[in-house]
Amino acid sequence: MKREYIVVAFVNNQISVLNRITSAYLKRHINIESLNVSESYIKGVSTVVISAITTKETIEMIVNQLANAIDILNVDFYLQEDLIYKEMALYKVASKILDNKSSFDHILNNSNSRVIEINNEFLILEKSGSRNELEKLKDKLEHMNLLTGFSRSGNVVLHRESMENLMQKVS
Amino acid sequence: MTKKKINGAEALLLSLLKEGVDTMFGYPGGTIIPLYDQLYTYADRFNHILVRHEQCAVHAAEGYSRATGKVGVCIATAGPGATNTVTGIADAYMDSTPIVCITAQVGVEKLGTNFFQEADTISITIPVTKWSYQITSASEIPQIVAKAFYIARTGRPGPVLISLTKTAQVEMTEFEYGHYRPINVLGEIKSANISSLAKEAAKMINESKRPLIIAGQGVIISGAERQLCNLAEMGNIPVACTLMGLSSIPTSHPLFAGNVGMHGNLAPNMMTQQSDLIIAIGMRFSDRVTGDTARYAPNAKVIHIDIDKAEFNKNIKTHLAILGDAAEVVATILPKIKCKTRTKWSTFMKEAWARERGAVIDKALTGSQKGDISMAQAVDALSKAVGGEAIIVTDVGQHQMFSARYSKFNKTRSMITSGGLGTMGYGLPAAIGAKIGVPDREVVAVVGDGGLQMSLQELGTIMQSGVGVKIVLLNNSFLGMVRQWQELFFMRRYSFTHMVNPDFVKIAQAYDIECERVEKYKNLNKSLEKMLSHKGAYLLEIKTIKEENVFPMVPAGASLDDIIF
Ligand SMILES: Cc1ncc(C[n+]2csc(CCOP(=O)(O)OP(=O)(O)O)c2C)c(N)n1
Repeated sequence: MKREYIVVAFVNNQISVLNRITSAYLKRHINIESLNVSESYIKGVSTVVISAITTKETIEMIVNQLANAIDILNVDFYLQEDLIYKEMALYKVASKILDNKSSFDHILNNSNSRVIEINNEFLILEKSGSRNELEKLKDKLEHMNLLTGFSRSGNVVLHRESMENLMQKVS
Repeated sequence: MTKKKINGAEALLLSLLKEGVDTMFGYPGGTIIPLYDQLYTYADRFNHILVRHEQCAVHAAEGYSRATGKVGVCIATAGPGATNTVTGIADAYMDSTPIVCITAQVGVEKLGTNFFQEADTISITIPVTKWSYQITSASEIPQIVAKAFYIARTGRPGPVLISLTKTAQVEMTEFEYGHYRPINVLGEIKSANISSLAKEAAKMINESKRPLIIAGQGVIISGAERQLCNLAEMGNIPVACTLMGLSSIPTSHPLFAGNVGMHGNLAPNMMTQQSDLIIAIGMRFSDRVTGDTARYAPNAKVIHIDIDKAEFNKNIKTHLAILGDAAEVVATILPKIKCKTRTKWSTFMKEAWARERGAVIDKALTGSQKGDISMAQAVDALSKAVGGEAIIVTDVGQHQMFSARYSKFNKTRSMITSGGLGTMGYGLPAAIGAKIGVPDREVVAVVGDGGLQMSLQELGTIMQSGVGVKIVLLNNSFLGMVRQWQELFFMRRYSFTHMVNPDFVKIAQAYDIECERVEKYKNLNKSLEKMLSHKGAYLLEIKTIKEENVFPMVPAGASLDDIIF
């Protein structure tokens, strides 16, 4: 059965590591839905988070291949429910949304988003959450014909597993 | 006092010396001139073999490595030199052959400008290297070379590529060398649980009525030949080899069951299907070994011993996976093994062999009525002439499968062939590398007329470097293996598999290589003896029956139960 698998890898912060990771997906003809690379809590080690829709057998093969790569210190795959993960999105919204103050407040409060910039033509909303939550707000604004721009980050994750366990795996 | 500074090119050579390198295969070019310039000075410390094509530099390094167990080294220039190495690197990757491939790269400030002969070698080779690194400054050289050799030979071995920029070659640096010590447990397997798993394995083995060991190249890489033999003898367990595992146990050993897979022997393939316990050592259940995995070894539990965790449960479900070095794991299992007679099982093996002899082997070794030579006869006669002592290096095709089926091996590291990638053109350069690695052993390249022409230019290398390799060309004027498939599965539609060939004897003569052509079986032994008594390189062209097939055969995707004769 195909579903979304999130691969989390701790890697040496070095040239070509990311290519090696994505090539393991490319080799098996799998599209990457989202990808995020950022510095981890260990200096010189980056966290790579990749989500892709595939089968368990395939993701196991990918992870096993990546586990053998020299500059990948630790790698495993997860389902969404195994991780605390968030994405962030920015929404560019036509300023006429302010015409109806109560509806605007309602949207802000309901979606847990905040205004980070405002001018005569548009305002920018920022929201973090699961992909679903982000999509929901997007759909809503689109439906109201107010959305003029949209951008979403990759996943930022933390394991439910304890820090100590993970540190042991990495060092 | 400050240390003497040397340039990066010299630092690279000094690093290679520190890693014990004395042989390399290469081809110069503009971007790598600084390195070759230093090599001019260091010519007394390195045996540099000038090949005729960079792909063959890699294959030669592979052959050298497979024959000696050492890391093979090859060198090429930037751009086309580097891209020419890709096939060889991919071959080494598939067959876990430890090599370090050093290719030049344009100067750092020119990277990404499509400078003359710039190719993004790192990106191109990522999927087929175990590790790669681009050196941009001379000071990095010692540590990267040390790491490269460590990675190439440790754990599951494989190819490592170093992209050496011109900047790093010419920059001045102080030289200081330290062998690489990994910070994390790279390739060093935590062997803590081996002993408990070994106990479990021994129990499964002792309880088994029909056990079969399948030995892969991992046995040879690990140096576990003695342990393998002990395990077989102590438990009275038959041993089958994969193509890559051939020669890990002498073919004359009474417990040697033959080779498994697509063109393997009947006995071990049938035994796989009957077995109640497969003990897989250093092999990866490739599709060429298993056929249809859903119907593979239906009655067997599987003990899988391997150094690469990624191979467990990948193709075949494993009941007991033991991660570790084959020699260590088998040695741990050994003391707990009980000897069992298993008379029925050995009778089964003998009967299957008798059946294969009757149905296939006797016929193949009879040849044609007109006295023409079959490939089976040629390989059989060669094997007898060298008394099983030679290193047989093959190319890819029918002659490769005949070599696997009809060669005898007394010693380990005696069968060198391209298994995983099936690279035509591999045979001749790999044989050159092997001969240079072990000059005291007889090295015979067994090649087809198609494959030989994919690296024919290496006759020049043989001539220039005086490599005493014997070449047995099995010439059927066809791309035989493809023709066989066309005959069996595509209604004999021989689409572009017939070959109009040059006069190979004349070609050998042009390269000053002794040669002969033999066309009749009655002259075969005499020609082989003549070849073997000749001191230097020799090409023996054997004209073989044109439309001979390798049997038995498990058609691609079929089950081992559906062997065709
Ligand atoms: C580089 C490469 N190209 C194509 C093939 C496909 N192929 C596999 S075997 C074979 C025929 C080989 O013919 P030849 O070298 O004459 O040997 P024979 O099978 O006749 O013994 C071919 C074309 C290959 N394995 N490698």
